[in-house]
Amino acid sequence: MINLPLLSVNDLHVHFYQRHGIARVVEGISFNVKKGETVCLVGESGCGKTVSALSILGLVPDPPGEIVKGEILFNGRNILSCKERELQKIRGNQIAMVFQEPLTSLNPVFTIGDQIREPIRTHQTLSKDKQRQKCLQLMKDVGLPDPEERLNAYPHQLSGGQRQRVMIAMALACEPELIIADEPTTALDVTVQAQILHLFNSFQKNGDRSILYITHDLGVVANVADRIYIMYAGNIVEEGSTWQVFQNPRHPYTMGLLAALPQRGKRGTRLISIPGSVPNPAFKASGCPFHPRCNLAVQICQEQFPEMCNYGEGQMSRCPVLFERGLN
Amino acid sequence: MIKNTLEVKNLKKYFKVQSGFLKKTTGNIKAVDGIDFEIKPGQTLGLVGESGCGKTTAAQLILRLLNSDEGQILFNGKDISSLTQKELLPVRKEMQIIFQDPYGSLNPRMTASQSIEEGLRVLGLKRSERKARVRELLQIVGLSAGNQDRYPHEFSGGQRQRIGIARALSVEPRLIICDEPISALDVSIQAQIINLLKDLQEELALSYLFISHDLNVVGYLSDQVAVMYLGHIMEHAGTEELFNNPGHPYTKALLASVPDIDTDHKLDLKILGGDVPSPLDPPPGCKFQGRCQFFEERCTRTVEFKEISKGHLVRCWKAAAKV
Repeated sequence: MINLPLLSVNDLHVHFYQRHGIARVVEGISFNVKKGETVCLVGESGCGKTVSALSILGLVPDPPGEIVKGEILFNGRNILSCKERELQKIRGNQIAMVFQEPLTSLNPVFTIGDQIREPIRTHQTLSKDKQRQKCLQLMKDVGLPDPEERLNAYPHQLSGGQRQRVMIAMALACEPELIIADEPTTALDVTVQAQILHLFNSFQKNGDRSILYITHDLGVVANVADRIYIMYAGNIVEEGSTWQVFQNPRHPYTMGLLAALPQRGKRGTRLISIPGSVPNPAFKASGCPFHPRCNLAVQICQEQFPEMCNYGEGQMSRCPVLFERGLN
Repeated sequence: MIKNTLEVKNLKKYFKVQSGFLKKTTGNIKAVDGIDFEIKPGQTLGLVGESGCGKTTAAQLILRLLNSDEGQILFNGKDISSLTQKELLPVRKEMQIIFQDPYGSLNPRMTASQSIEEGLRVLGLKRSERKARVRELLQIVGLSAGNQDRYPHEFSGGQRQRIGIARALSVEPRLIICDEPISALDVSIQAQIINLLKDLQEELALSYLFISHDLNVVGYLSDQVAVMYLGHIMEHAGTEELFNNPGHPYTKALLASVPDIDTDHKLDLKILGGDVPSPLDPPPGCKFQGRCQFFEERCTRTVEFKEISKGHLVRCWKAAAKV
């Protein structure tokens, strides 16, 4: 089949077994990433976005976690049925990950050079000299100043932004087809965040690399994403192109998030806030998980899990109430 | 004339860096290097800057949690920078702080009501008065009275921040320093806390010193904004003026780096190169010189504030030259 998406996740369920019950962290999400596309998974803490990403790499800690159901197709191959050995060939080589906190994800006792070289050593057969050259080139690509000197530096000697660049260099080392970036700029200052976002955008201009970008920051989303999936309590509640979702949000949660953003233009007016708080994954409401906080909720929202409603041109939303209203 | 609630004049704090066996002083970290500002009653001053620029140190100096090296802190017209701890007690009641991390700033072994009434106990209120006040405060911040005997771990982040706000309000302060009060919260919760802070300000005529790195929030909440960089205030103006007509290259870069949901799709953010340099013995002159695209020779000399329009102060030769 032509135009098969690079990654497609179908009906993924991930549960975590806890002392006081089962936390259904991911409850049947489906999304796909095409070649050369940046896709954002957007959601608040605890909505299951990181767990979804970890499932793709087979990194969900088991126990307590378990992928109960679903399939993850990468280049047409189901990752979930791969053996650990096969997974290791994919990790870092075809799919690479950039984590949120560069200080805790880098090993403090190895030099930067060692750590960037590690994926190259694991996945490719290159002479030591070639490895070093490749390492230097990668460091230049991600904009680390003085790569020759930095090669022998330890993580604590670098600033937060530089550490994140090292993480990105490691991710790029084997020219992966897909990079998963889990909140890569959350811990950084705004000016440094702008530098890193620019770096991500520049990967895409010269190549057909795909990025799955996970964040809670809608401002960042607007600047990097081609398509967005909005997640709430383990479900995808809305999907569509960035432009569609920002211009015409079709789910009350998305609308609420956009309205709740403090902006200079809204000065003097009251922010419209979403009441209540994010539900605990172990105790979710029946029916639509958002109904306790939704101002449009009707009787049926409490009883029935909502279906995806298709608005055309790739925009879908899990709110039949709004959908029917639009039809009438 | 209305008296300013808070006025800070030439406030400085240097941390000594010591090394070696004899702990010789080898340098100074100029965390706060001569800042001036004022806050009028019922107004909000936003203090913006990246990490390490000295905004939290400034807050601690104002509250006298740290002692300043130089400068004056005038609270209601009275200099509090050299008061003794005992003399400070009545002043402490007038200014309170809300911390960034609602997980770390509440004592895990105290119930919500114990945390809130601690300040009241210091003031010598009777048990029955305290209980009544706690109930009232919980209601003000939007928590039900049934929550008062619960411990912090039973609350969500937003609820904890509400407890922190109730605790700050308990002693009826006139000034509240908000040190990044919403940055640890989820997006949908942030708006709730912002609305709460705004409502409280209107009802109780509070003044806020609102410290944040998030320009969108500061732009929404503040009347005046001061931009800090490495211990200096680089620009100070009314919010509208600062955002519409930024004078300092750093402010411009900061504004351009904020990802905005209204921008065109994948618009390239304008990039400011480099990182915030170390505040350890910075070069003389403008602190921003290492990253500034307009760097000239004269930037290595001390730059004073210039007023480029009424109430709009900029610490830059270039901006000053245009006037």
